[in-house]
Amino acid sequence: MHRNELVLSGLIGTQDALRFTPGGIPSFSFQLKHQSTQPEAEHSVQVAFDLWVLALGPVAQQLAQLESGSCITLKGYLIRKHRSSPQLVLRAIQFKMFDGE
Amino acid sequence: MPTIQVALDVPVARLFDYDAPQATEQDVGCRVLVPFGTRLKTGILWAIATEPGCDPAQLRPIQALWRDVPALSATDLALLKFCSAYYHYPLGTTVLHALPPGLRRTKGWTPPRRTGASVLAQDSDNPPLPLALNTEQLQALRGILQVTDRFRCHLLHGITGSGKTAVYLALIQALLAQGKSVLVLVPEINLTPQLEQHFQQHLPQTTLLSLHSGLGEKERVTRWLAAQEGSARVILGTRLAVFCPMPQLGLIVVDEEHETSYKQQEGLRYSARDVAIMRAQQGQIPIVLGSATPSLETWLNAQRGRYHQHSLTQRAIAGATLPRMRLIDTRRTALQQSLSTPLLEALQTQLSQGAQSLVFINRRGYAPLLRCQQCGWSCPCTHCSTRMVVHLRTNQMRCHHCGRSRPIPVHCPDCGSVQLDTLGDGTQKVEDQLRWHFPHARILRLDSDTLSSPTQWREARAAIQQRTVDILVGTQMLAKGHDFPHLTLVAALGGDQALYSTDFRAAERLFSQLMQVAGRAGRSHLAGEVLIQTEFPEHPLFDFLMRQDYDGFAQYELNQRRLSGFPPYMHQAILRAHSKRPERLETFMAQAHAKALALAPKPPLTLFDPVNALLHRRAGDYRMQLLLQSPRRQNLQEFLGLWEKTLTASTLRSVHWVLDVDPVEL
Repeated sequence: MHRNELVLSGLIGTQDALRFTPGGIPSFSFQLKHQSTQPEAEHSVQVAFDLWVLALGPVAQQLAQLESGSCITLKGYLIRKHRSSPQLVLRAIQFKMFDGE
Repeated sequence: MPTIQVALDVPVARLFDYDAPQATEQDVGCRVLVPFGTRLKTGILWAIATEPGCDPAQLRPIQALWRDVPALSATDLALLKFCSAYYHYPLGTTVLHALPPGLRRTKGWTPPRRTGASVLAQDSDNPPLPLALNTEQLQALRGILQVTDRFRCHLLHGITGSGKTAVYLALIQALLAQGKSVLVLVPEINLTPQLEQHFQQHLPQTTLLSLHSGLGEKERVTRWLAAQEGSARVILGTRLAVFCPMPQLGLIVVDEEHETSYKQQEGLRYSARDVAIMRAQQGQIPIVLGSATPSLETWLNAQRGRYHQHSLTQRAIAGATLPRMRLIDTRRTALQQSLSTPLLEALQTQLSQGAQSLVFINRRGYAPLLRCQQCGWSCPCTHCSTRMVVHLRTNQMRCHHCGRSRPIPVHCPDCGSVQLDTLGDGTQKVEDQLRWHFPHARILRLDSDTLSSPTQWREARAAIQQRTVDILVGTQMLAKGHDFPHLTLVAALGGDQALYSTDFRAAERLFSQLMQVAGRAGRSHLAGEVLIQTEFPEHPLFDFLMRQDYDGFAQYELNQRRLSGFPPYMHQAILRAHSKRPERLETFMAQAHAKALALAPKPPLTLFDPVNALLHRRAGDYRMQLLLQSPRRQNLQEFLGLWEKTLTASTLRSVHWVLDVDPVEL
């Protein structure tokens, strides 16, 4: 019940401006555009979706410096966008850049 | 006749007897020092007793009888007696609290070595500035001056910028010429320096003093005495000045009579406007209530012919007109954070023309709420049943009810998330947004956080006058009575919040506030424009507001009040009680309610059940209230008199209570 880990790579899409919470924590949100091929019932399937990512803390500042279109792998967990929202977002904890193949 | 009756500042509704062989009838109204329990207390010699209430041998002698300042006159004492009776508040406390603090000390009065220059602020070298009155102003002036030797209550209903102040000045000149003194009440301390200067220019031969709580202790006494001795002929003061003794008083003026700041909200909960009317009645002198948006109580009295109404329907400066009004429906207009596109465009036009604008938002701080996006926690005050307000500039969360503060939290204490965000707008946030939209504009924020001292006010006023400011952002502090001749655009944000209130006066307040703030625009030769952002454009008050039709609004609102049985068709009183101990408070209120029922209130008096106050807890105190009302004032007053006695007899320890007669908020 307590496991919530997600590793996902993709391109940085739409970016919001870097903001700060009233308590002074940097906050940065952007869309991650994911595309891959994954196994499905002994075949393979094309996967493509966009997922909103919200990073808070120093990692937000680092991510905010990347340009739109950069390729990254993110590690984090899923969390509701906000209290009354059914939408899930990826809360990024770490990221790594890679060259788009 | 050695026995005297003394009024003391103790929460008991009676006078105390002392032995004072030296006292004579001339000393009634003097301050005395008496032993009370193990301590010494200052009181007022209320009367010389002809028949001592108890064995004279048991009376304690007074410690001192001070004749260092003139005694309060019989007229002054009569007014205080009336207040004590009408507001059902102990006589001694009423009397002592009417005195300036410097005369309440347990020592005699020693005048300051140097008399403050301000006391003799006569500027007799300059000739008085001439007053040019238009036809309407002259008509009002003549109407009021028709009868000055007996009581008459006048309503001077003049639109914003119609020159009510000039009428006051002409009245004062006329009364001074008759050898009389004049008392002028203003709603706010910040208005006094501006008015004082303005008045002095027109009354250069006269000693004019302002009286308010911002003065030093000695200075306040000195000015009080100058009024009492008759050397200061015009007193300009806030509500506390209504008790200032003035032997030759010939006229009282209450400016902006609709302002709720005339009502004291603690201790003796008096309305300075109502006390002033009573004072005028007792002294048989005229009183003038002035406003662009009179309170409905006053308006109804004028409609019924009890007050004499004089109207000023034109702006005083020839060619100056009322501003154009525009409503912006925020549900249909794109908003960039809190500012709508038409509003931003209007500000841009102003800037390119080098004209001054005011953005009005009646909430100080950055935002009224800090909220955790993940769990909804919203930073409650630990001592009040309310939320703390974000003050980003000082990195503080602040409670606007008890004044407590804490640093802005980084994490939510409930769920741990750092995803905290602000909700709603305050002056600071609006200022930030404006700076972002207009990086080159000179923006000045004016609220009680930036204007805590008279110096800051003076500087701000100078900056506005000298046009070194393009956009002002401010709260209702800016809406009252100020005259900014270069201001041509007023934009009001978030006034709607008031309409969510449960108070039946919410619409009246919002209407008068928006009329007042709109009245800051285009007071001089430049035409003004007013933009109001609202979520409820269909609310009838906006209809009247767009036409700047006070009469229409008053008629509509009075009709609503009559149908729902609210003031001014009803007279109300509230028993307010508070205690740190909620169970005791409930017991007290239940007993108070039972006692009221036992007194078998006579119809048409209605007695409601005790309920929690809207703000149930404030600064650690639990608060409850009980409302009573009657369409007949006498009916209510008689009942309060009986009820008050039984309440006094059954006071519970650690429960504090007070009767609020004619409450201005529920």
